[in-house]
Amino acid sequence: MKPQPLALKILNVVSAALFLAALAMVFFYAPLEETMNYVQKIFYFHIANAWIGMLGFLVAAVAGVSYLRTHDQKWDIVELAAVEISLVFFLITIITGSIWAHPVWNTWWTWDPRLTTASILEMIYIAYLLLRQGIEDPDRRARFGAVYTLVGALSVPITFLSIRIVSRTIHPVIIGTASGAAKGSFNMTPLMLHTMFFCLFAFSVIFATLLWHRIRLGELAQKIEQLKLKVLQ
Amino acid sequence: MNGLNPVVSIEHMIAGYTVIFSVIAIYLISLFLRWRNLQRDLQTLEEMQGKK
Repeated sequence: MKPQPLALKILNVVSAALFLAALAMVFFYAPLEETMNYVQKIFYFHIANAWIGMLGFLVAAVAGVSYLRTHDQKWDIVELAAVEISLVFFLITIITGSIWAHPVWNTWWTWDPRLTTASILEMIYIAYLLLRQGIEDPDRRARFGAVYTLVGALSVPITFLSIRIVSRTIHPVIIGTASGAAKGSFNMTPLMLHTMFFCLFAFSVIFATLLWHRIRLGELAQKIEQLKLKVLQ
Repeated sequence: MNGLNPVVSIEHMIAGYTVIFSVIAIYLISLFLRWRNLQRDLQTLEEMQGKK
């Protein structure tokens, strides 16, 4: 397998620097929110992780469409990579959301539309990974994955819009009009907005870097599978 | 909502960031270990193919 290309090495360094810069902005640039104070600082990374999670599931759907059109296995590798990374970051979103909710809502969990749809989204893609493993034929597996991610991607806008469509939600809407029942809403000051958008940018670059690494891992696994078949023949 | 107790608030913030760092670290380590194992497999298979 080829060594890491220079662009990927540069992305590694840039991603690490952006991660540290995002942390610095959260703790030293963004002001302390008056009511929630320190726990509100979870919000910046919570929202950035949610963004990556949803972005990755959409990337997987696009890769799925590309596979169905071309039948090129490389798209299956991209799809799997995007789903795996998104699952990790979406899991962080769910856990950090729960930690934030505990002091603010007085409960770790409630079956609010956003929390429910987010959990369903995570489970849909956990099932994707489990079901894939049960299919040995690479073409069938890729075809299954492509259709699954395409249908699964429908749950992304549902999760995003759930708190904007359903009026009886406790989950705050940061951008847009919050429901009257929302708890933990706050007015974003310009410094908070800068920090949020910087975190979104930083995590987008981190996602691209991780995706590239995970694709290289998938390509290596594919190469080994082909070599195994050759050796066994 | 009245202001949260700062101690409780800090504890939850630390817990949140601990989760973020831990999960990301575990994922990065898993990527590294899988890469290393696959490299070993590749090396073994190439040796077997060479013997054939």
